Amino acid sequence: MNTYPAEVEKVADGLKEVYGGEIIEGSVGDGAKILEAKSDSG
Amino acid sequence: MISIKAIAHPIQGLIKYHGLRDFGDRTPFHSSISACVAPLATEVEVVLREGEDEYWVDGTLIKRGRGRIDAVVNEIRRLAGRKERISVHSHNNFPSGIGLGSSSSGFASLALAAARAFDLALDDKNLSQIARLGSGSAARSVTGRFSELVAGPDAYAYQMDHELEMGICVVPLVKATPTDWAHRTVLSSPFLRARLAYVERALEEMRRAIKEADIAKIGELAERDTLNLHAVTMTGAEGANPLVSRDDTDHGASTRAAG
Repeated sequence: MNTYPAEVEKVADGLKEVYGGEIIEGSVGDGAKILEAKSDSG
Repeated sequence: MISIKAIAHPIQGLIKYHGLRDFGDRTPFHSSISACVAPLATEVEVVLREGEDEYWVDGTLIKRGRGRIDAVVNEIRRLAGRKERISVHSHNNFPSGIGLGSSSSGFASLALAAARAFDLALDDKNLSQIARLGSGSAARSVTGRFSELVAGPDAYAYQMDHELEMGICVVPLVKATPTDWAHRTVLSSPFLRARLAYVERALEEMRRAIKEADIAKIGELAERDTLNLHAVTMTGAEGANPLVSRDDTDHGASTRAAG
């Protein structure tokens, strides 16, 4: 796998300088998944 | 009581689309490719209930404009052969309505949670087709990571073959273009036909760049495609164009596009 964590931080710092606001640092996310399944008769 | 919680990440288009061949089925004119963006996420809880369907988004009860939610819920209920009503509570961990794709993650997690609540076993392809009834981009949010939405009467998404772990930076801007406005306005753009001629090659180049983990090429192609899409969306005739706006900073005109 190729990873580029240092570049993300560097890009985020650059964007922060230009835009001044919040920059969200993230990654490529997985598909939809079930978090919780509850079933009760009450 | 049956209660199911599901989560999905919103997508950001790499080869985007605006324009629907069929607004009912939300089938696009051409295929599109995107990446899911974590940690942005939407969580949806579906609870079976009696009475009427009830939809809440970030604590607000949705009373008008429920058509796309109904389309997803009713299709799942029809396929499952069930009649129960549901309540839906949807929560985003990021701002909605500014082009970050909350409809993609919202409809993807809704489709998954509702299908599970009604005991409907669906593979990713079928689930993506149902999520697409809410939002075309939701199909790609179902399958995750780098995904393609394959255009056609039964448009569906699949996760692309890749070995790429890519960092993403998101700059939230205040203004964005309402997606349905964009889908309508491109139909009157004189450049739509030119985009349809261009996009097949762009899709092929993007598939190759993702497979080869060529991040520089992915960026170059995504930037070129965004400009191409803007050229179409900015030249439609659907009223005042929100794509060209003056933002709140001193950086001049800003443009945004989802898809």
